[in-house]
Amino acid sequence: MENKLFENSIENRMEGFQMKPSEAVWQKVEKRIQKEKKRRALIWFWIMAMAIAGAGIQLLKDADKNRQNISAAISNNVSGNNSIDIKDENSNALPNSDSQIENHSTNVSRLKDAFKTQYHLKDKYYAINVNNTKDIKHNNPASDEAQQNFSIETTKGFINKEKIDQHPIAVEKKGNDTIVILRCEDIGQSKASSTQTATLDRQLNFNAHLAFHGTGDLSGTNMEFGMEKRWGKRYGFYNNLGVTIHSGQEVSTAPNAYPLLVNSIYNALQTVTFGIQTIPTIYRYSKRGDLKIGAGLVGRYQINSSSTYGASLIGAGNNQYSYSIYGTEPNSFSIGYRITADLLLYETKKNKLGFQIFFQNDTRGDVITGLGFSFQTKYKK
Amino acid sequence: MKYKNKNYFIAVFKVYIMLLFMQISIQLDAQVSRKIKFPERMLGFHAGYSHHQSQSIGGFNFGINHEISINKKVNLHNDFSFTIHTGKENTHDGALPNLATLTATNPYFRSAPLKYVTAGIQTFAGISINMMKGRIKIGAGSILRYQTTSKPENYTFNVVVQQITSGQLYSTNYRINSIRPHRFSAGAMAFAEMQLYKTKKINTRAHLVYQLDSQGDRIFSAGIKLQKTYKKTS
Repeated sequence: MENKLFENSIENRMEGFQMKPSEAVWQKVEKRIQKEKKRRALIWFWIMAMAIAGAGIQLLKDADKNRQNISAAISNNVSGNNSIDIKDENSNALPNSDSQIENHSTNVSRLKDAFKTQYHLKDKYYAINVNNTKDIKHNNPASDEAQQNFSIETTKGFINKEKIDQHPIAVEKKGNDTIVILRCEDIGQSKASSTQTATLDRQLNFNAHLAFHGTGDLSGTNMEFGMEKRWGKRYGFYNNLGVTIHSGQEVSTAPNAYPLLVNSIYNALQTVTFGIQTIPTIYRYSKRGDLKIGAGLVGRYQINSSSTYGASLIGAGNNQYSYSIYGTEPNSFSIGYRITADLLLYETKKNKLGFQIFFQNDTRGDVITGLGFSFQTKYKK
Repeated sequence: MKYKNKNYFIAVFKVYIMLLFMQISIQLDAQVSRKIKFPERMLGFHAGYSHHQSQSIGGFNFGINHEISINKKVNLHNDFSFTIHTGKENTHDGALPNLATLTATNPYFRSAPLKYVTAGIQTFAGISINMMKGRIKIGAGSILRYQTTSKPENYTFNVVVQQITSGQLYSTNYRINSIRPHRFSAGAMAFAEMQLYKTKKINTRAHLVYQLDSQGDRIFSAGIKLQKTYKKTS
């Protein structure tokens, strides 16, 4: 009977308790959010600035090369050396967005610790069970209920602790008693627990980019499939197989100085470059995991149709170019490096969509830059 | 009388136990038959030799494939592949041996034939039927293809010979009349697969493919397909 009285009184006390953060806490949280927004905007600004600058450099190089090749074509000498210097800038580390959560959890943990010390709890409290048959652990003479013998036990093992999400919802001081009320949620529900998400540490990636082949002044695409594995919270390893396809016109004859005759048939020489490559990459993730920067080694096999050639006008009144092929470039294997940045745009429980840019260079002197999207889907091994 | 009743009750109890046992066994059987069967899914990689019959050049193809067995006889296929073909212009090498007594105009450069590269990206969706307990599959479907090529459709090859006091000099050149460097097309593909080796998780198959598209490109491929079975968990 006494037990029931005690339980009822505890229940009455628990009713209507709600946790309302103070105004000061809310103001701090709001300030944090505003700061994060500003930083995000800054990151986007830098990425866009880098992309525009890269495209500008590429266009200037193209224009220069066009001019060089026209003069080269007239003198029947072919020269095609080109080099691009692109410096990669390290982006600033992202702010820690969890800090306000950490502050909050610190406050909560203080309360928990106080509660634990007060009631001599030896373990984390997964659920509270009031039992008057046990020995007194705490006796508070100021409270009627506390005159009774009771202790608070942990029921570890009785309830699956992984399925319990605990939130202290109220802390109230009455007399000398401090009652911490814990709300246990989602018992028995199939909510993804932390252990379940931790096992989804592998993901299949598909990346597609608009890519530019620097030395050949060709444009095209880069596509790759790969598997990524997380190493802890901040690192990951990504192995892949990719394909690049680039094409473009022979540039010296494109701006034909002489108008073509009516019914004249004329086309410029076309160049196509196809590459198969694998790039084992090590990623480092930001604290929030929404930005990752990777560096990897490139192993690339390239097949291309480019050649050393001479372009010459066939004759007066014809206005058509002919191409003398002096030598063709053999298919070759090269090694190099690639630097990649991937920014998370959208995430669901299993899938991620990101914006990706990369820069790669190899021993053959090929520079390939690209920007595009990355799609990732998590899976369990 | 008591004994008779006792025997009677024992007999009834035995019958009841037997019926109960039968009922339980029927229920267990029913549970087995009610098991949900997920369709078998396979994710794989394929690669092999490929011949671009319209351009008469050889090369290879490779890609990834996904297959779902919707029942014992029928499978759905979805592939994403790359094709790469390369070759050189034949007239150059055919004509020059007849001009062996000549020397090139510019000795610094040698005369060389034009080199072609044709690269394609394509996706396939189709259906196949199992034969001989799934050892052979025959199927067909539709493709969408993007192709870029450096091979001219129409060109002229010229050999220019110059008479000088010490002998004859020659030079060669190409005049490109028409070329279609980029093409998008839709088409059809037919294929046959034969099982070579199968373990619990990995399936190795040989496959033959023939495809044609709306731009008139015909491609034949023969290669190997490696597939791994998996279960969709969600």
